[in-house]
Amino acid sequence: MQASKRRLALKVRIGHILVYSILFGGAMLFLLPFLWMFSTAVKPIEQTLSSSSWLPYRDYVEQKGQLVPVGNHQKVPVEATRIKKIKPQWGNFVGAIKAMRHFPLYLQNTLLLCFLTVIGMVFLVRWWLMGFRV
Amino acid sequence: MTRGERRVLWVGLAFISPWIIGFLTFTVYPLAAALYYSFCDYDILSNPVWVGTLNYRDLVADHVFWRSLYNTLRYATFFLPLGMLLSLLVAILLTQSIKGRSVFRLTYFLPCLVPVVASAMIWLWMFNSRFGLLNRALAKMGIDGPNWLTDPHWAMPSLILMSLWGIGNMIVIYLATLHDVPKHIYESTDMDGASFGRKLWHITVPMISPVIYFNLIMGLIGSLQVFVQPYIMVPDGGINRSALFYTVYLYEHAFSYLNMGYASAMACILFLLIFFLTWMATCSIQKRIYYAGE
Repeated sequence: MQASKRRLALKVRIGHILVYSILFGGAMLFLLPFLWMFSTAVKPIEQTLSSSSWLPYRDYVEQKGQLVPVGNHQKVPVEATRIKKIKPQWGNFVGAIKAMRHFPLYLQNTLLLCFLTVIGMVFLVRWWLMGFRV
Repeated sequence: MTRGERRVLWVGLAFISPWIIGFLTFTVYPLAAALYYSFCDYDILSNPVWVGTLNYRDLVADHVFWRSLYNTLRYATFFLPLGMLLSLLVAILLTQSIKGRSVFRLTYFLPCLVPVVASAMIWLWMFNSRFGLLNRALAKMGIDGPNWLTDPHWAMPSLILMSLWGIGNMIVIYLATLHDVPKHIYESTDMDGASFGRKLWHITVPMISPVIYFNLIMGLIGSLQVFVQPYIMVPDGGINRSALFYTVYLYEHAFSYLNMGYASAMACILFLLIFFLTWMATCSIQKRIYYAGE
């Protein structure tokens, strides 16, 4: 009796481990594109294509005892050692909203469409089908 | 019909008239117009000219049309079984009583919350042959990754792979029904010592068969009408038109060449094809569906 109970417990545990590992592996596959999207969203433009890093960083060089960020069009002496610092570009979000010139209007249109469709689908159609009874 | 009955009929019709008017103007009229235009030479700018079955005869001779039809059917034959099997598997795992179940459920549904255009853009980067995440990961393992979207052999598998990322909708529908299978049936099979596989095949699958049927039909229609992902990722169908989809080709004729008549003929054929395939699917599996005594 004791032995068979133990075997059953072991079986249940193996089953659990199997379920967890499959679900976890799948969840990772489903999440990766998201994480990549998010990490690209906070990268400076020059890293969006060329960088294999998951983290957004910025290159700095030391000039006269100060760390100066290396921009796109700035000339940097070749021998200068570059220092990498992790620096998410939150400004990208502001830039994206500004690039859509009528962002509030777009948002308003989308929300209005969504609101009316949901209200119509859930309440009006049901009310209608039930013969206008509440 | 007496006067009273006729009166009741008219009142009834008046009450459902909002629906009747909407149905006539937004469903019946466009359908009839598409059918009419499919027999016309119509470029939107000038009036349609009746040409008989010319559009249909041209279609039969158009090898790009056959190519797009073949591609779409190939996509459906791979995506549909894979998607249905995977989503059922994940849904069953997600009904087990495990810790963090809701987090897992959220994760699998998350891709459905991203607008299709946005997810196509993400995958465009993922599939990029030089900088994409996929090929970088493969390179780390020492595999030289293919040019996913630009290689004629890999464009279709890439699109199928990407579609599998969005099976969250099917999973949600399965989840909703898996909770409706009566617990006592499982309990009695546990008493008989049935294994996991037996319970799955002899209880779960028959009990949720109406929903499997629903997902099959919806998936069939959806995968034959797939448009946004291929249109954004391989707009011209790629090299040798290897990933040209039916609806993309239809759109090309309608809005790039302004061949509305030709496009309408394609739309009519697709409609008939979907109608026929749905009818076949219904006929072949209807008797195997269990409606709990109804």
